[in-house]
Amino acid sequence: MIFLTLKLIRKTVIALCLVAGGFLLADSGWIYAKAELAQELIEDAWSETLKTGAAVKPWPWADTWPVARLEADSHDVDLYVLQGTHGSSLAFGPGYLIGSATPGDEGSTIIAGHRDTHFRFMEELKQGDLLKLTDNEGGQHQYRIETLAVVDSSQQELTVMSDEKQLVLVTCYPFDTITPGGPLRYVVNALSEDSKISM
Amino acid sequence: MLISRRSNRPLFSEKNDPFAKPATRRWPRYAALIVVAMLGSLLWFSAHASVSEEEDVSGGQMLLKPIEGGGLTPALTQQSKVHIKVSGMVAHVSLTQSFQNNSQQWVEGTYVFPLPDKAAVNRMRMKIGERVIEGRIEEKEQAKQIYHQAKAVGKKASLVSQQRPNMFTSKVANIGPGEIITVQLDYIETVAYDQGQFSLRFPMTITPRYIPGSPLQGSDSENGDPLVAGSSGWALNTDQVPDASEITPFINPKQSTSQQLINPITVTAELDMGMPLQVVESAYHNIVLSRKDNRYQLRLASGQVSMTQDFSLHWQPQPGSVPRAALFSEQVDGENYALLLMVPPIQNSAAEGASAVLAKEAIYIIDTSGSMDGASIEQARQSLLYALSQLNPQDNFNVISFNSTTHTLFSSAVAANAQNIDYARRYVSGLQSGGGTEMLSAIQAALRDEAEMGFVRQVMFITDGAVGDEEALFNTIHRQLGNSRLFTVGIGSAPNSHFMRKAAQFGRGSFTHIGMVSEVQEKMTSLFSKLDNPIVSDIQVNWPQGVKVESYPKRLPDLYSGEPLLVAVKITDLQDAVTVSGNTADKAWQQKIQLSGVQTHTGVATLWAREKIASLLDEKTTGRAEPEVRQAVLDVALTHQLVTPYTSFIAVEQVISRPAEQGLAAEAVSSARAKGQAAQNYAYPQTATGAQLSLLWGALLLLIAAIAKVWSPAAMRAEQAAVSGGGK
Repeated sequence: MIFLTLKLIRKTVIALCLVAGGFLLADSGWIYAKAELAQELIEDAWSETLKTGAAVKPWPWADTWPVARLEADSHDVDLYVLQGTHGSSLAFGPGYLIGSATPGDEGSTIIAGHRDTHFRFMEELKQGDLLKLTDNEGGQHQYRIETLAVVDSSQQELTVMSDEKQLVLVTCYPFDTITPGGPLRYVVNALSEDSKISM
Repeated sequence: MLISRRSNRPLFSEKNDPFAKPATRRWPRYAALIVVAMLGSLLWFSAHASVSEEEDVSGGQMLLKPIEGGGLTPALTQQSKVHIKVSGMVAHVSLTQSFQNNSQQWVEGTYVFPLPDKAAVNRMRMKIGERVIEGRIEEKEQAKQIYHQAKAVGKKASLVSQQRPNMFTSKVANIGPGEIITVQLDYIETVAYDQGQFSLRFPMTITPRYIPGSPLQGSDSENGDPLVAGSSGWALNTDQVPDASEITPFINPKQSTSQQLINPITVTAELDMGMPLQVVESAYHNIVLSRKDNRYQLRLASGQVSMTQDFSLHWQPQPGSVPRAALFSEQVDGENYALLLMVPPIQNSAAEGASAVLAKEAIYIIDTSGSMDGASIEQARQSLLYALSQLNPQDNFNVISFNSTTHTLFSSAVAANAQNIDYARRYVSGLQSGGGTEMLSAIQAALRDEAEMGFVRQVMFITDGAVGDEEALFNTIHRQLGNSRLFTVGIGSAPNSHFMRKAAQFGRGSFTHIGMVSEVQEKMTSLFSKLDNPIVSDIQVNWPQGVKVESYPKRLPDLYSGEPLLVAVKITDLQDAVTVSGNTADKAWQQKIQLSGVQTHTGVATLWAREKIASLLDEKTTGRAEPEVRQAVLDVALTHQLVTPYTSFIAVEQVISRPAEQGLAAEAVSSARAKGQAAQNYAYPQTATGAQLSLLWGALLLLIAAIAKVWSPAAMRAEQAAVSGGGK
């Protein structure tokens, strides 16, 4: 009798663990899959944007749209940047911080991405690396990485300088920690190549 | 074969598993073992990953170092010291910022800090130990270039530039490991004078910013609230509100909890008004006051405080010695500059005050566009209902509402009798939000009419200012204002404050911000106390015949009760007398002030230059081409050595201190708490998904399932053994 009860408990535990574990794995798989697949879907919206200059939603119920294309050739990175840094755009691609300089314009353009999906590559960035940004009119802008820093977001805010053309990439730090929501951010500053002062 | 099978039996018992299906039941266990192995390694990886947290950043700079208590502190810390010296109407303030590099690397520091928005920053020095390098004013771009070059070759340099009229940035390049570099800024400002009381405010921090784009507050995020905590506050604005801190004094709750001071500052001040004072008070900080004749000295009781709250000081002369007019002058490079302060004659008694109030024609514009939906329209309705309740029987009024179209309640302003007010109340109560924000036609409708003789025309504009064509609107206000005055009431938690402030300035009115329905009463009361007492209008300053003058502000404001007139002037000759005239409720008045023999005062020329620059910058809005304005501002700024949107202070040490092979890390000094005033600071977005966490938990659960599958409790095994033994 004890044996049967134990068996039953064991079976129940196994079943519950399988279901819950399966669900969580599927959930994480879904996050990664979304991150990957959405970029494919966004590609069409982006080419439409380049043609018409208008904001094009990649799927009808999307609450974001591509605003730029970010490339880092040396790291094999090619990403469509979406409007806004809210969760529902970062799930599908790196997000442009509304209020920062329009991609390609004077001032700081700030782009944030998830450290464990699109912006994983930030880990490998180093001083001097080139970043390429395509604006929604097809204009190309080159930025060279000047500084890389870890900041504590609970201690300071993102400061946007209005007088220098630069690209700021932001992601969570450390890259490999498991739980999301920590206060540290990894911030990469890249100065525009065309405004670079010759030394 | 058989033996090996038997030896496995306790684990892989076939017969006695009531749930097992004979043909297939072996593979799940192998599968389970494989899963265990895989998940085990995954867990190990994850565990390893979480340990690597403190490792160095590859290719970058680890700019944080752990401190006791587990927190992290920036590698670069900043300490400030401010000394305020007031004599007469002028305050000379000296602010020192010391940047200390706590790390082992060379660092470039950036610090964004507030200053009073009328501060005339006219001197900068960089101190490295005993060495002092005097900064000089350069055209902004050029200053930046010089800075970048110095930074690149390893020279110590500092650059102070203006982001907004009240928001500045200090950059210091090449601070060596363990080194301290100090930047000293001097600025001059006029002391505020209102209702017989002098006051001065030293802003300590930058008010929290509105994070543009509603999605940031949306509930549709993947990870819950995407905003990093610490960036809350009702005055979160989309843009520049140079005096937001004055309008919404900010109290930082972190101040009391913080064990260690963030951005500590010491404040000392010296007041020399040339007369005995009755009151010297600091609004938010405890001070220690000492007196020597008519000189008062004060310092913070606690020595140092964290820069979490503005330092606000006010003082009052003894009754009888309250100044009614004053003139200060300064001669610089053969030019005469003067600062004229005058308090118009006011009837102070309450009984007289009532009769002195001018009859007004009040035009209320209320924004009912879609963006006002929700709490905003309720705040707007309440504000307007309150305004209607404040009308006097002799006033005229009208109500204009607009969204995509403009609707005017009465064809022209009507008498504020009970019937009309009741009608308007019912109309306002029924207003609903929806539609576009066609603001221009509403402003035109409001400014179209002229008030009857003897009426002061006040337009009160209740809106969230969610418009993109501000410049066009400012132009309209500027051109069509006539004798009206425009007061803006900003509604909601995220109004376009830039619009509110500038519209009010061009409209010769003031700006009030209402962020909550509960604030309506208080904010509207203080606005109305200003509105209802437009004591002095049509102010004119007549300089003596034959002298050439250049005076600012160009357009003199109306003065509310207790406000002084303050005019800065460049004048060819200081002799004879100046006549100031104006209208008060029912009578005209004028007053003569002698120009000769006035006391000289350092800083007057600088203050004049600052006023001129402010006036020039406003001309950009009123239609002057930017390059022209820029050139004009440059001329003044370079002559008077002032920081402006087009000029910055730069100081460079000629010695190269950083070895070429060592890199330079960038470090931003944080504000005492996440705050910022010029719409230039944002909270960091949340940039990690829960995918890894889900993956880990999922793996862990599967692992448990797998272990449960392969592992039998001892009791079970014993029973199994008994059964299989019996079967033998």
